[in-house]
Amino acid sequence: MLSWLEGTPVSEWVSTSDLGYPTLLAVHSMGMATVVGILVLLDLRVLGFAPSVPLAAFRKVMPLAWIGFLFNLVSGAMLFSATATHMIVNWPFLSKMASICAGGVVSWALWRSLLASAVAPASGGAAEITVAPNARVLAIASLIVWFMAILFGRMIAYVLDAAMLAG
Amino acid sequence: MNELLRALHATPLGALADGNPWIVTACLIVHFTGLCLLVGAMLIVDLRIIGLFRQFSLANVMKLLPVAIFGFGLNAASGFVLFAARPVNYFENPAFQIKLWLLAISGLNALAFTVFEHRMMLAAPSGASAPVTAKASAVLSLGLWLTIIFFGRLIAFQVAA
Repeated sequence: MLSWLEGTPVSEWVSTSDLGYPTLLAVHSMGMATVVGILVLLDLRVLGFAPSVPLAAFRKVMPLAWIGFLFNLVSGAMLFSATATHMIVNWPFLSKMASICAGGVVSWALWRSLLASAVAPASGGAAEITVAPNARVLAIASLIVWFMAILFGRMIAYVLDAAMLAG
Repeated sequence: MNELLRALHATPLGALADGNPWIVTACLIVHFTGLCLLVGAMLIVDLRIIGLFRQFSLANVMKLLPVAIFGFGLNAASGFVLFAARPVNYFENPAFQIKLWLLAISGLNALAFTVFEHRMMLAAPSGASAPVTAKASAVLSLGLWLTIIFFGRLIAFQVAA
């Protein structure tokens, strides 16, 4: 099935055109900055950075993180399709996928925890979010796991190139 | 210029970085981490100035700038080590040249913003709109940083050659 994937028109384009692979990687970097950047900023705020910035305001920022994620899901799937048979045995790639899954779960749990602590102020107006102790633990876990995703992502090419050279 | 580049390559830093692939790898990982901090913070700051995310006051969002500056610091340092490892290759690389020009424009934009707009942001009442000059600066900033990532990523496809 992976060989079939490598033979589809999309992956043919990615692997044989001059622009396909570099352009997709560049888009993938822009998406990464969006998802990871925003989630890390939330983590830092939860951990006490810039305490005057209202946590509730991040509600409107989260969709942007999703947009970044969507860009990377699509560009990542296209990149994967070009070298699927190599990727599926590429340990940094598999570790990156695991890190992203863990990152998604941790950041989701953090966001749920923050929403659960949202209380509408007596004076009316927007709900205020307070940081529960478990939110801090989740924020630290999120920082670590998303960094691991970047680290493993960066390692993919080294193992991939070695595998390609070996045939 | 070429002599200057060779001199940089001949420094202990250049020699160390060029002779040790793990240093290059580590710097690249730091560089990718730094760009997430820089651009993640700038996305929120610039989009707020443009008019989105009004739940943040303009003064609030300025508090996020240290993250961007820290990310930039990481990338200036890691970028310099990477450059020192292969100064001539980078200098002749078209994607690298474009990236540096865009960085220079971005620096001037940030300087102009700091001089002319920053104080007003801190004094603005919550929910206020930023002046149109600040909005223009924010649009330019976002466009530049995203384009800088784009060309930065393309550098690798020419350095290897």
